[in-house]
Amino acid sequence: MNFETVIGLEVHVELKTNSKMFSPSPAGFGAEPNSNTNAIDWAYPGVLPTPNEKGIELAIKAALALNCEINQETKFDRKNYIYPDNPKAYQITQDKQPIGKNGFIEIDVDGEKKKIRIERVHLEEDAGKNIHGDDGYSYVDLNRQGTALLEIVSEADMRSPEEAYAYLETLKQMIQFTRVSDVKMEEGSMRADANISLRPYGQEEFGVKTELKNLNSFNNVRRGLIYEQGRQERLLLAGEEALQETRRYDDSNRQTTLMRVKEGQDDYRHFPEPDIFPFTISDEKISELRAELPEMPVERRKRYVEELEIPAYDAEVLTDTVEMSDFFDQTVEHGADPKLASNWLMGEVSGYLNSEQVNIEETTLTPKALAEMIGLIEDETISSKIAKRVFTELTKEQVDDVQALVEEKGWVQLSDPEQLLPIIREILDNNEQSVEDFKNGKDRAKGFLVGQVMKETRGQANPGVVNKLLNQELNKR
Amino acid sequence: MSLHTKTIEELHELLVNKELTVVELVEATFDYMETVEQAVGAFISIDKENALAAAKLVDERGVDPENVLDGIPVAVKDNIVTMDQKTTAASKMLEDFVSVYDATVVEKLKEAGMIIVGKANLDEFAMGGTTETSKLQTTKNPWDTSRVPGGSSGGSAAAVAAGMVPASLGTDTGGSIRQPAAYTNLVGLKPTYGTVSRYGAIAFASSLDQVGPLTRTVKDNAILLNTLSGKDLKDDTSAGLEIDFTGAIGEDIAGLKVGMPKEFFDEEVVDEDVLTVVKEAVKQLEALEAEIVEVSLPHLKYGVPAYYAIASAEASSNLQRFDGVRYGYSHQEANTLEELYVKSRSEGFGPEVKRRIVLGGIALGIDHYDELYGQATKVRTIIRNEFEKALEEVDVLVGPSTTSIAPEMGQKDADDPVDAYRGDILTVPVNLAGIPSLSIPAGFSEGLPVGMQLIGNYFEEATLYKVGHAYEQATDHHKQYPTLEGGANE
Amino acid sequence: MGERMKVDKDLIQEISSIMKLEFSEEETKELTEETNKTLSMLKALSEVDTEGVEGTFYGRVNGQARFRKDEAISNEEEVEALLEATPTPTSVDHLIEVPAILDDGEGGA
Repeated sequence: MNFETVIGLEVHVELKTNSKMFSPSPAGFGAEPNSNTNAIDWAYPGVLPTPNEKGIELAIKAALALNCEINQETKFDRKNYIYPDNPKAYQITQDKQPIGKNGFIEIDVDGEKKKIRIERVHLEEDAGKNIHGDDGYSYVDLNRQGTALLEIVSEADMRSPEEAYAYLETLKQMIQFTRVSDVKMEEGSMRADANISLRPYGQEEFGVKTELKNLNSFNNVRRGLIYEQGRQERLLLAGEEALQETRRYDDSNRQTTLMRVKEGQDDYRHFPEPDIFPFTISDEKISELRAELPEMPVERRKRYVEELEIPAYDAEVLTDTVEMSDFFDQTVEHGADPKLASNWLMGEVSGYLNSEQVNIEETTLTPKALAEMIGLIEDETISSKIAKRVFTELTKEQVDDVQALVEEKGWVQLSDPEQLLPIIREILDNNEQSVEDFKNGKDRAKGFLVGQVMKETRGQANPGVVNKLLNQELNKR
Repeated sequence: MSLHTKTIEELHELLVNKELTVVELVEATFDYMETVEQAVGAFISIDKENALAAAKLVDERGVDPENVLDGIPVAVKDNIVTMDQKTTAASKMLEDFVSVYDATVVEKLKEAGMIIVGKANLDEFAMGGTTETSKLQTTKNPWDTSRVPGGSSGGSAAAVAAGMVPASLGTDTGGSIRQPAAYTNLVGLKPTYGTVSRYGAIAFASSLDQVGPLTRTVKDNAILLNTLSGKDLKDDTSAGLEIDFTGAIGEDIAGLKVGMPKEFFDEEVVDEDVLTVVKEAVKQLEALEAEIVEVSLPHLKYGVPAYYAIASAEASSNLQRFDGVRYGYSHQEANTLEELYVKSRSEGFGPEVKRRIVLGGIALGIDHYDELYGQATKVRTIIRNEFEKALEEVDVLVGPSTTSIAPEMGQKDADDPVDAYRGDILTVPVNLAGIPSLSIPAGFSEGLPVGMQLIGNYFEEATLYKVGHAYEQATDHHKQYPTLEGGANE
Repeated sequence: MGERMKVDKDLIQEISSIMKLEFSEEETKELTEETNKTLSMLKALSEVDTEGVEGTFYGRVNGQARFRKDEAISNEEEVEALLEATPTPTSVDHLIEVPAILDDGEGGA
């Protein structure tokens, strides 16, 4: 290609607060239309905004996680535009003094690491939702209106759709690890707009950029950018000029279509929000929030591989979400063998979470219980087979003492030769034909005898011990 | 018994001594209203039913002798929202609007046992200085019904001046309490920004608006402010100070330093007859052994342009929410969203409101932001600093509240807004600075009231009340009442 | 400053359209004149030397925002009253009905 692609991303994430950013009505997903609203959300005459402390704290945390400097003297501004989903006709946002600035994250594309700078992270309120009817009307639901929203603006540092994809994945994971947002594209708690332009290699100046909207999955971001890259390249090769456009990505034909051409700068008549005084974020507050930040996925993966000797792929899977990763760490802290813990989490536990469509923190399983169960397998108190039954119990209700549960259920494995030998001898006495068959070289006969022992002990006999004792006894006959 | 000239304190005495029940007082209020309201037109709506019901409740539980406001009738400016009756902002836009919540100050009045008898007229969305931009009602000055009551709290002032209620609430963005108080011989306070919650006061210019009381006497005013003030969790800009504003009333003012900003006494700005009255009033303060010193606020004259840039800018943003969708006037035959917006707003707003929205749009736009809104906020800083400096040297500043006595109706040419805006030169700087200012009756010119402004430092309302009360006790201007057709003085 | 502090009919129309207001030809002419009169008064602001001066954007100096605790409050009664009072219908699923939205909006969040 003759041109270099330049991409910048604007990402919005909804912050996990109980109430809205500037009004006490509930923030939430999926309620009956307009039920999570009040006079403030409706912009009734005379109402005033009250800033949500938690929203501000979550924004600071996210900014810190993204390696931003915090603007300790900050404020809110009004961005004026009239639209049905924006009842005040202005959005309370941050214009000149965003909470965070000059941050960065590191992405990895095919093993190559690259730093993507983050220009700014600012706090604002979400708009409501317009639903377009086919009856000549649109319908407005203000439930989302006022939800705390974080806007994360990257520098135009990405040079390919793949880098943009990697940036989004990394960003999503980092935000997810801070627990400030659910970052779910499908629920709209994470949204991305992309700016893309092309320039001849070696040229410093940026080309004319296009803004892409309606990119409702990471794959669509990549596809939309690939399409747009091609479109702009064809334009430039044909000697035409690209226009500053807003284009919509259409998933059905994987193309972008023109929404509008921008002439000059949009004028939102920003000015400081007079209803909310500016505020100072103290050093203490920043330290306090910084201390609450978890170890980020990159560091965790490194630790899992280097210190816990977990395979790289497994480390990747375990750090997919902060919930899983935290659970793993805690299970290991409770004394479980890391490899066994990892196997259980990636196998049985993940299977259960998938089938139930729940998050590990929403289950009754605790790291302590899992660690105890793994310990019981290791010291052969229970068999792997019984362990699956134990696990089922652990997902039914919270179990604080797994050993007691196993004993109560009578699931303790029989490994004591003193107890097993009489049973084995009796079975051999009662199955002379099988003993005979074994002696004549029919190995299958031994399998039958083991099965009989297991049956007699209701599956509790330790198969290894049974095998050993059986060999010993058969040899005696 | 003649009730219509009584102060809150006097009415309280009558109620406590059981010479009068609250129901009798409220009935008398509405009876008297019938005789004079026709001539004055102070109210956009009255609410006899709820008022009487509330009065009955107070009578049943008994008037609290410790609570001076218990059972006292009050009028509320119609840009302060109420659930019991409509709130119009004197605009076609909100002609039939009923709020789903009560303003914080309304809640406070109710908690104090006050009886809200009606909603008072104003300039549309509080934009004006005569109450003539009201789309719903004409209000006349009870002192001379050919004259305006001032504005924008003209109805609130006229209701008290005419004797219909002993107190009312107004809002003051650039003089809208003090100027009508001056025109109608009342005590009116623009509190320090943040003293009173703005929650439920329909925003005009958010960084300038304050709700405040209009009363016949200084003490009544302070008593009412005690109830109105305080931290409101619904208003982030409300201050959390616990102050007894009546605390200094009765103290003498000997040795108190009173500053006369020479720009307030400029003959090119203020009518001579008004200056004569106010200078006389200053002499009275001197007679009370206050020390009078001349000070200067050199940038005062830039107050009006700074105010118009800032107030219009904020108003243009605050008034964008009136779009015909969720409440208020809505154009019924709109086929498109754009048409719904444009028709609803163009038909719902009056010319003065539209003028300021357009001006505000220009002031905030990229092309003019720096020289209009931006420059105005810097000039605001300079004016504020000058007040702060002056108030380091003196305890209070004194000057006329208005440049003239109440003008004739229709005199302020609506087509020449600039001329109308100039009259605000003495009041708007105080709003820009955020400091408190009390207008008190200072005497008469041509039989019409003249007001004097006492301006103090942040949250120093108690000092203003102290000086105002001392002056009031030494004079009897506040005991003069207008003679109204149908009024008891006839 | 100077000439720029003057508006013409076109600018008035442009601002009016942003502000969702419409004026007749005659009204536009008047409004242009009035606005220019007001702007000529506002021009006085340029006489003030504001070099190095910070703007005052708030009603009180040194005010610090006060934050609300993150507690959600539902108010069904208020929601009902709000829906009840709209001048536009809310009969479809408690949604607020407006004429079809055709464009993409002014930007959104």
